[in-house]
Amino acid sequence: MSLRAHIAILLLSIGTLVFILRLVRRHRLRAKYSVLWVSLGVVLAIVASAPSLLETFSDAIGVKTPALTFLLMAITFLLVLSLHFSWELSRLEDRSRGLAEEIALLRQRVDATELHDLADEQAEAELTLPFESVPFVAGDDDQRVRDEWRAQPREHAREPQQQGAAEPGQRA
Amino acid sequence: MRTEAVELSDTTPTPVRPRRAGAGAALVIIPAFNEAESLPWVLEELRTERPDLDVVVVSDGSVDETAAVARHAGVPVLELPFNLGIGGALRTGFRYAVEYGYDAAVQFDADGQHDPRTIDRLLDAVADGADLVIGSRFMEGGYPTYKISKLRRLAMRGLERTVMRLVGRRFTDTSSGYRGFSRRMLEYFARMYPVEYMDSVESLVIAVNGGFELREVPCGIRGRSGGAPSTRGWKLGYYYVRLLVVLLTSYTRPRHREVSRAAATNVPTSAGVAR
Repeated sequence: MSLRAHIAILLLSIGTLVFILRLVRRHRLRAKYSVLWVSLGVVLAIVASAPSLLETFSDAIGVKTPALTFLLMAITFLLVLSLHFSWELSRLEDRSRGLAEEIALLRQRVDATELHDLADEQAEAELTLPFESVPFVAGDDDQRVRDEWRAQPREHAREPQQQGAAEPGQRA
Repeated sequence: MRTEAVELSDTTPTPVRPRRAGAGAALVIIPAFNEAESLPWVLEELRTERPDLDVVVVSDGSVDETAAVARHAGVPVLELPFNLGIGGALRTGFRYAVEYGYDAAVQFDADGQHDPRTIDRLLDAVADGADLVIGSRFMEGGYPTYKISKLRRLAMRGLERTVMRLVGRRFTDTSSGYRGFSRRMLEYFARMYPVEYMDSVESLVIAVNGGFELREVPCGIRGRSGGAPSTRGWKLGYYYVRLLVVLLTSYTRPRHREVSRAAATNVPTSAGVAR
């Protein structure tokens, strides 16, 4: 490799390093990935500054062209990396699926609780209101007045139902 | 999205809380993805034929009125925020069943292809000690015939053979969507039900490997009342290959790996999560 190529690679690797460090500093990159990329930048810088290392390594593994060794390393690295990302994605999907299920179960629980509180309120209203509001009439007419009162349309008893029925819709 | 619930629910009292009945109580789990059309009469039929059974609808990210329709019928709804596929919907149902302490459950289709009058065949087998009961479309005693295309039939045959080789016994219908589960099976599946397509086949292999008792009972189906098979053509081929990979790996997967995966999902069970 020519000197100019080395300088170019060196500059590139230093640029990468600086960029990664900036990302980490701004909390845009998780530390676990930063280690990966920082070490890549360092390896690049070493290879660029001391090309003889690459040649020695190529000889050791029996590859004639150092550039091919470099490519081989790069491709291996990328393959492993994308495999790792697939793994990470699967894990994330598992977790978001779990969360979605949890949300469905919880939402049902909330719906059930709200509706049953509502039903309890209604039952209470049905039980207490008639007796409190029936005008008191002594004697035999008592029962008849109560029946009449019960037969009347009751606006106030309906109120909680309408309010409550609107609730699930409002949350959507 | 749920604004339509307003006008519906004001005509109905909505007992959405499950009965939480203990011993002997069974739950019907209906996974539904955009089934608002068929769901009302499926629920209606279930209620008239089997008023003794609790029902839960899992709306798998439906964008139609599925959830509202179920609520209107007074059935509890598990509404998934986005589509998880049949496996994910089922697992949600299993978790619900386990949480509320049901003793058995039945997987039931939302499109009306299953007859509620045959539910007892599944539940009886569960009561008899089976853990996973498959309502087979191809055993005798069901409805006369169930017709499928040649290619589909061929694919199913191949699948059957693969499964047979893996689990060491023959099932006539590995992909049935009409199944019964025991409490033990529910607890197991609530943690590790396969969430990818063709879940039924993989779950069968998992259940056999887990040492559960499987049984098949004849349950014919009534033919699709609406809609088309969910997958066909090349896509089916792709899923088929994918399934083969899944099956082979799930068969060779060591047991302790499954336990660790289960712990990660963190589902409360009566026995506590294995760690």
